[in-house]
Amino acid sequence: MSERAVPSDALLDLLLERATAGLDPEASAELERLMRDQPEQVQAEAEAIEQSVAAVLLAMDTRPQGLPAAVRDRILAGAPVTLLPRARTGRPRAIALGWWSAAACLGLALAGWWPRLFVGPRAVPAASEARAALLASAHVVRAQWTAGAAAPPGGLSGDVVFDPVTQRGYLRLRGIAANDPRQQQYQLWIADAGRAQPEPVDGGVFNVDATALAAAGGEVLIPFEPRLPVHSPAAFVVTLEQPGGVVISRQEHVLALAKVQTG
Amino acid sequence: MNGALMPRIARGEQPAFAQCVKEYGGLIWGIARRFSPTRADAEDAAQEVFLHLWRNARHFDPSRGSEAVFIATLARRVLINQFRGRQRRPQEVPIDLAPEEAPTQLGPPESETCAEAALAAAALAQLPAEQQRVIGLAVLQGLTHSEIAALTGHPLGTVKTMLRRGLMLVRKRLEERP
Repeated sequence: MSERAVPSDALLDLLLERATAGLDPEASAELERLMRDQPEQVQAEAEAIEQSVAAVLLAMDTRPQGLPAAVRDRILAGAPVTLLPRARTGRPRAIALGWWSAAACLGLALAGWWPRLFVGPRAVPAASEARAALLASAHVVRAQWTAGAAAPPGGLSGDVVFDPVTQRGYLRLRGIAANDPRQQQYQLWIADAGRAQPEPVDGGVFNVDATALAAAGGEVLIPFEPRLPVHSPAAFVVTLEQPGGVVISRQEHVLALAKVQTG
Repeated sequence: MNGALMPRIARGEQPAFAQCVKEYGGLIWGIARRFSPTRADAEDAAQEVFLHLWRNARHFDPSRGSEAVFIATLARRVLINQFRGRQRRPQEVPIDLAPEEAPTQLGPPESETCAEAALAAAALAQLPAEQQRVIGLAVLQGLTHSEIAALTGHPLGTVKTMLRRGLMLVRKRLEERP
């Protein structure tokens, strides 16, 4: 193997962070500055680091999630139209552009719908039915909420159900107050006894709308899916955090805690 | 995973693409879920990764690594670019009222079928548990160096050193492959 110049630690750190988490504009500018002298060598270095990161991912992620059947079908259904450009004719390109237009429309539709996701009266019956179906699963875990230090004076009650197979669950909360998402948002955390890392898994942020809460009789039902697979849930925690949620909760405002009973 | 899918996909063979979705769908879905705020975003992202895969299959060079590593690298690159293109944190809960859906059959752990994964696992096993944890936070959860420092309580410089030395050890093992 030929000798290669040893890159600086600063350059390696930037390349590593770019491969694992991405860089913010300031760090990207710094990386570009460091790359100016030996762009080809740094590019080779970057590729080697990306390969190492991918190998670590494959080594550590020993319990990959299965691709949901609906997603698989969507990908395969999209393949014939999106993948035909290999023929190098005009028509497939037009089809591909059409697909992209459709995808863009879908994106716009989602973008228009997504920010208005509050727990509303229309959502509750559907979620209620889905929750009932989930409870029929042999793998589902269920735990009762107990009020945390930041719970409203009247307390919080309800339960959480979660299926480690489908990675879906539902929070049922009674006594929770409406929030102003411009000020604070609720965030769900899940402690997973099956993970090597002790940090709880981020279950996502959610809002409770005052009007919808009143219409639903003071009880909300919130579907959730953790962003990382949770195989052995030990406890669920709801905290109140800054808008958008946080990566690491200081657990200063714990509203509710639900411990999964074992044995 | 025989490493023969990418050339076939590059030639436009759709059965090879279907086989690729079957073999690597779980891997790509796992990465997409980690870097997407909602399930809908993850679904779009997974589709986009496969599209990139089709377009870039011709760049696969078996002398430089396995298909699994090529695919994981490409998927992470696409997802990180998307992730960085929007706010780091999800804005809303990923509420999804679609019917319950079982995942497709899980494949074997990648480390059982990919030489690089086995080499990386062996290298990681030589590291202290805390260093493995820091690497896991970076690679599996996509946390920045600063976020890892805040989470673990280690000084930022220590986090960087742990990651750099750990990943360089993995890289060395990969380069020592026959």
